[in-house]
Amino acid sequence: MRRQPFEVVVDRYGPTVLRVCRAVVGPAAAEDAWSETFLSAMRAYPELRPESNLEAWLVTIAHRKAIDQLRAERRRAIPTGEVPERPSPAGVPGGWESDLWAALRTLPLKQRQTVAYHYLAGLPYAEIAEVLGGTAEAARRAAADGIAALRRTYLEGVARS
Amino acid sequence: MSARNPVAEELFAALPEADEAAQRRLHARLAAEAAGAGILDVAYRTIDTPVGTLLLAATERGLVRVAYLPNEDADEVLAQLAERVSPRVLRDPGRLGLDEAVREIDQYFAGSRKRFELPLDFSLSRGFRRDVLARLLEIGYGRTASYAAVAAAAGSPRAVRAVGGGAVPPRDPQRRPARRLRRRPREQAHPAGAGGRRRVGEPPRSGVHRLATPVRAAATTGPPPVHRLEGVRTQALEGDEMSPRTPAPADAKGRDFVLGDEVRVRILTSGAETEGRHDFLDCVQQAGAATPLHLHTRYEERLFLVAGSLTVWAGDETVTLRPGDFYTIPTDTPHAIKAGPDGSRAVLVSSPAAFGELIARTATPAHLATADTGIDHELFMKVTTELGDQVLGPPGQTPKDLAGGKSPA
Repeated sequence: MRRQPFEVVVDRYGPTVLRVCRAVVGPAAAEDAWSETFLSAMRAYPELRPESNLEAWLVTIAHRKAIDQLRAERRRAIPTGEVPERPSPAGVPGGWESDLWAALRTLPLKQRQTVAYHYLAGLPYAEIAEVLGGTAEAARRAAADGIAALRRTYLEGVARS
Repeated sequence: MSARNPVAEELFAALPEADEAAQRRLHARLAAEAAGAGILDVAYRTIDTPVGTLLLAATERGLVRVAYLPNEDADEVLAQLAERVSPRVLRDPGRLGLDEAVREIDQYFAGSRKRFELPLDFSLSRGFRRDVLARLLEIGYGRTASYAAVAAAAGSPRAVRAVGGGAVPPRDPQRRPARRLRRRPREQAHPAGAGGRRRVGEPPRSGVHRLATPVRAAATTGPPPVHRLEGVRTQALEGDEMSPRTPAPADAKGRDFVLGDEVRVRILTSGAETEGRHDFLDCVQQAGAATPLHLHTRYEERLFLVAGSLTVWAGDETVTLRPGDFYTIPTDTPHAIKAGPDGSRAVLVSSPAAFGELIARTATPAHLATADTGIDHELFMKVTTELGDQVLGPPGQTPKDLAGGKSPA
């Protein structure tokens, strides 16, 4: 099997990885996470076995980069007495940045990750378990809980408005 | 790709599946950061030129591949680069010297540049396959593109000026490179000679066989100022008809062609008449007429010499054919052919058929030819490339030169 030019990898998987990053770290940090992911992937690409599952490989890298981004965000955050109203970075009312992300960010991180890796990247739970640690069953439960919570907080909210 | 779950699809409907503006932004950022980190091994881009779209690829060392996209598949070219240079390939408009390459190529087609000064990376140049890179960047399209390129150079005062004045700006940068062969007296063809100046690399003015000029010198200083053809022709090959011994086919019209003033061809059997199995041509070449160094990837070429003499350099062999001699040039064999001092007449068979098509599409029908008839080099190059031919060096170069010039890679 031939190793594709990296351009093909970016073209084919870039949009999916961006969706995953947006769902896991939110609009503000998503592009940094994506860039870190692909730069890191490009560095390692010549050593990757040509028969590897590129999508799982990229999600694994994106997973680590997303955690880095979230940690950096936490370090940057200044603790205050009150929770400020978070402005929508893209400022589109009704866009995913304000509504969907507002719902996603209330989920525990593990639920957000499993939902994104399974429903956006299409990874089976067994592979998600390898990325996150734990069992496939635990990953499946986390995703189910995440979806159920999103239905309540996001879909029903959308339906009301 | 993603699991098709109706709830999930509804949930993430607001999250765009493809955000093109973001992807463009991220791609540009990735290319910049990869270059900064020293891991952008191959950058590529395309460029539109008057002869068609080219794909340019470069490494840190220089331009590594030029692909002529009307004939080559971009995906395949990129796959080869990934395999043979590095898989770290990204599209990028200007990095790794691509901006400079585009500038020089634009200037070349605008007529304000005669030679290229780009650094080249020869790591893909295995053996004889220097393909378009050598063609485009070492020799230049117009000058080597045809079997009569040497004659074209002789007839083009501007080309000779380019030889005489390597560093002197061309007088009219708006004009495109000469493509038509014009007959001029020898004196007019050497304006630089009037001042008594001769540059390093310019071959001596006397003698006919300027083709022996070292190729690199010729390539970097412009086309060799070449011999007149007049006066060295043989009457036997000058007649109205090819020869009374070749009975004209019933439909002779449309079968006789001239390519510049060096080659005359009668297509005795065209590929269309054999369902592409072969074609059968009667070729008359003027004294000293020489082909560029080239190879055919899709057809074999067979020569049967009828009159005169013809020297063939093919692979490791050099043979001079006499009347009655037969020679086969297999596919993928770099070769060059040059008519002897009395010119040559040969039967040429290509199988599968190809050469007849090349002639029919690029040469001038004999009944339309005049003394000024030249060669449309761009068209010739386009068709010959389409037929799977690769021009590897200018007329006068032999496979030996190419083997000696290849990089250690």
